[in-house]
Amino acid sequence: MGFQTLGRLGVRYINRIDIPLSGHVVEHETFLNVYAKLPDILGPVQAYAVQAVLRIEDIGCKLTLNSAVVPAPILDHASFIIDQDIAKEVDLPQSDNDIYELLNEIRVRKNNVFEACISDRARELFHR
Amino acid sequence: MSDKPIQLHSSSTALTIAAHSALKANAISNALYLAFKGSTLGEARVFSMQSMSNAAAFSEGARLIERRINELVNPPSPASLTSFLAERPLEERLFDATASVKILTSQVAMHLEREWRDKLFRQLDSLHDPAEWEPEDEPIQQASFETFLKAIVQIKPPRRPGLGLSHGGHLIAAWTKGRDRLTIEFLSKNRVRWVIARYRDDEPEHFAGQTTVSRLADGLAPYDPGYWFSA
Repeated sequence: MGFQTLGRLGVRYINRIDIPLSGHVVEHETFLNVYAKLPDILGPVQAYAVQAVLRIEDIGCKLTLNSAVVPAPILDHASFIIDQDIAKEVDLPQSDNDIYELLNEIRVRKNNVFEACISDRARELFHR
Repeated sequence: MSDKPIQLHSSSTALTIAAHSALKANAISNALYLAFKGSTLGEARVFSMQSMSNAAAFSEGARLIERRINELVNPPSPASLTSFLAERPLEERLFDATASVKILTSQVAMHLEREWRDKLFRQLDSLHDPAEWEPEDEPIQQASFETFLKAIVQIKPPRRPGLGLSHGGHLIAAWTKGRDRLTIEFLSKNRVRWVIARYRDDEPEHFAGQTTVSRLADGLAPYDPGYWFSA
């Protein structure tokens, strides 16, 4: 019988950030470091979605980073998501120990990526 | 009109002149095809009528082609199989309803106290107790619960409300002080309906309103919200 080898190992983390509205405009660029950059002449952005795919070379993973405006589940807030998909598809670990070691490494990278994607002003929201 | 239906119509007319009874049926079904061709449902029905009428008129090869054409017709999508969903056991429906609103709660968990959430979950479980459920009632509607969460996160009432369900599955919250009562029904699409019953000099007064959840606090402002919501 043998055993099947792993073909892909990945995790996905989706964080939503609820930013309080002040008036009708949310200056998302003061809370986030990932957003759509558009010419000023087009006026305020009502919604956007951006995606970037990057390599995390030292652990051989691919990061697919999505950020978008999503409907706010609470009143007087605008909501944004930071959606990370981190996966390894080649040269995968096959033993339990190696798999958990990689998952732990991915978790650390996920935290680093998230922290890099938000500003101090966003961090203040989490401590309210 | 496109060329294809016209050709079909001409063909069936010619066959009808042959005065064969089975072929007359084919002409009728072709006419029905033309009448219902804009509707997927009508088209499917006409296909099946054609199958019945053609049985005596066409060769085995023709029927094989027809059968293969019929196999290309898309079956109903799983999402349209509502009768199957309606027949699920009561316990399963109640479990799914409570699970779905608990998931909604988890999405705003950072805005609610842990103790508040735990008590809310116990109330939801109690509302959907299969042993006390009336079969004709509807479990809680997600859209109603979304409206409730928006109101609660905004008002943050220190006093917890008693919770109930309308027959249609709308969540109802009630704050009671003695004989006085504020009742809010949370509807879908961010709508709320509220009723206040207060006693002044032993005389009852009633006030009611209906508005959007974002206007609820303003709507209740003239009626001393602190009286109801303060611990």
